[in-house]
Amino acid sequence: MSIVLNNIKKVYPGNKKAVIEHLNLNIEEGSFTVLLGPSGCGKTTLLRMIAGLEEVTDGEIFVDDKNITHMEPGDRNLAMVFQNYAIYPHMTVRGNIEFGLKNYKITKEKIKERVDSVLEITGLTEYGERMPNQLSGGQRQRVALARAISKSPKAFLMDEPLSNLDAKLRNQMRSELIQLFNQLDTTFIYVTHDQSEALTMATDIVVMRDGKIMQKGTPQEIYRNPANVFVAQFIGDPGMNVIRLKDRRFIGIKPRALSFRSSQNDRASLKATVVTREFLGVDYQYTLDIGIGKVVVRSADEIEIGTEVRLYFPEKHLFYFDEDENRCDAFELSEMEVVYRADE
Amino acid sequence: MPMNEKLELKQHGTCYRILNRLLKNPYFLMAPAIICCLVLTVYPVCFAIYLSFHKWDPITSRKKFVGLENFKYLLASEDFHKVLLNTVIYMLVILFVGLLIKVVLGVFLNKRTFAHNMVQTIVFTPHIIASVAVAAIFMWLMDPTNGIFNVALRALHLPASQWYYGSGTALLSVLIVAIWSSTGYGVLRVIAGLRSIPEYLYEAAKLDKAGAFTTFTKITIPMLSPTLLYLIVTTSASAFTSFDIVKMMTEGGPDNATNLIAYYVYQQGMGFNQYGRAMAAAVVLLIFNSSLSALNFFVLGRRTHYQ
Repeated sequence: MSIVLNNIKKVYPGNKKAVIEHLNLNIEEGSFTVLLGPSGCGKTTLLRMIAGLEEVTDGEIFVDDKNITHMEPGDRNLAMVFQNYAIYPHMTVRGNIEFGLKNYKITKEKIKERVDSVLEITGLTEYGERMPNQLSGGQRQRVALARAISKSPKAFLMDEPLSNLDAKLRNQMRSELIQLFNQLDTTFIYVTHDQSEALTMATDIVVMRDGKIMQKGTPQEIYRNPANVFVAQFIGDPGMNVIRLKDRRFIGIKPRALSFRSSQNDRASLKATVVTREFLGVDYQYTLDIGIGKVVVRSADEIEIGTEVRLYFPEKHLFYFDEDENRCDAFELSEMEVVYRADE
Repeated sequence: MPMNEKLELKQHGTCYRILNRLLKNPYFLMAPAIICCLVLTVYPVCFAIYLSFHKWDPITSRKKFVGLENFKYLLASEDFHKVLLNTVIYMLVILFVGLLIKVVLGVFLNKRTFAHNMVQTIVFTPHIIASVAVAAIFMWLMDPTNGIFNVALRALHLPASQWYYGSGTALLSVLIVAIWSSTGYGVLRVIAGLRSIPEYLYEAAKLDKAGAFTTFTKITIPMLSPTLLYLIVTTSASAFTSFDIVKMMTEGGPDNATNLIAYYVYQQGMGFNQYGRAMAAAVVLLIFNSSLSALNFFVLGRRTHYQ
């Protein structure tokens, strides 16, 4: 099922400024689309508008060419998994799943059949009669998923569903979600501020800022080919080094593209001074001063603070951005004293 | 005792050492509360039970053991039967009608607009007015000849009522006053309870296609159950001990129509100087009240969902 958002605008009552304005997005059928962005970028608002929990100020939402903009949430045939699970605390696990199905007027036998099957899919068979307060965080998350799956919706909407879990469980649930996505063969729309979740799970990533879409693409496209300064700096851990030049244009390079040693590919180099060093276990994260700004470098080499070094990098790994912070063609670097090694 | 503490103690006087030891003793710390409890609750209850088996004249202070005589009198007394019936009716009406009004008003007033806040304040006001004053105001409003209630009834071409003067309507009049003065606090509790229900549960219910009625019965009421249990326990207990409105408006009359058990106890003791009988009635009240509270906790407690 595809979802089309057409010129969406959202203004919260009592506010003058729009949270989202002129937003157009096409979510393809069967995609795992992740809405990614810092908090306050409007990604959750967007998801809630698709779910019908938030009024759309202007614009239209289509699901499979059907206008659902003003339809009741329950009639949209979408399921949502909330950040805090939103499990009914006074109902058993089974009761939680049944509650929705009963409202859809399905026969008792069918309900039992479906509940049993989703309990099995989510590995909760033994927990059907338990109350939510007898379950762990991960199990509650599964109940929320089971409830969503039971309705066999056209699409799953997920609002930071893993953010309340500890790191280990989060990794585990992440791979389970990927499996679930492959198994269910429907559309997932997933909101997160965590880029590693986005990069690992998504088939499509939509990077948002201030209610606007900054870039849409596959994780590989977003990571390798950022369309603007914001995406370049937001994606990657740490994000790209972007330095503003005197002519208001920008130059960027990824921390992992810089190295302290010269190799076959690294034909360019520049002078730098080590400012800080952080030990990260596998390697170090250095901040270096290159005269016109500071850059971050990841390296396993041990170098003392204050040391003057040369940073080597392949020329083709430089990213160029224009005055409007968008990607542009390569330009001459007059400010930086880049030394190019001649071909041997 | 560690060495440095020993040294420290040696530097202080005997007084300090005794106090230091006492302050570490839990029984010493609990003593004020225990003493208050013993003197103000346990002793009066025991004394009442003791007196209920006696005929006691407080003027001569002479006591005579009469066994179950006082209880036998109460069992045989038609007045006491009527009092018990009145009390049960009073409690049930206050409990069900009162609770219904509180929940309905609470649900309607649970919005954060200026108008809603205003009405909430107005509804709460009766709670801070002394019930004697409330009773006095209602006596004036319900006056059969020129009270505003009857004026309104006549204006609507309806038959006027005798209100608290008529044996058929007196209990109803007392109930109206009691419910009116207890509603404000209950509504406030209900609103507080409603506000503690997280919004996302309602959103989940919307996505589950639950209508307004299903949402109310399957989400709101169960989530409100701790508040409702609290209101049921306190309301039923206070209904049994309800005294001031009756004393003020009707003094149990006419023809015992509004005589409730707490007033009956007062009447037997202070009015007729029958302290033994009064205490026997008080013991009956105690048994009723404590078993009802226990029942409430056991039966409702199990169905109550605490988050």
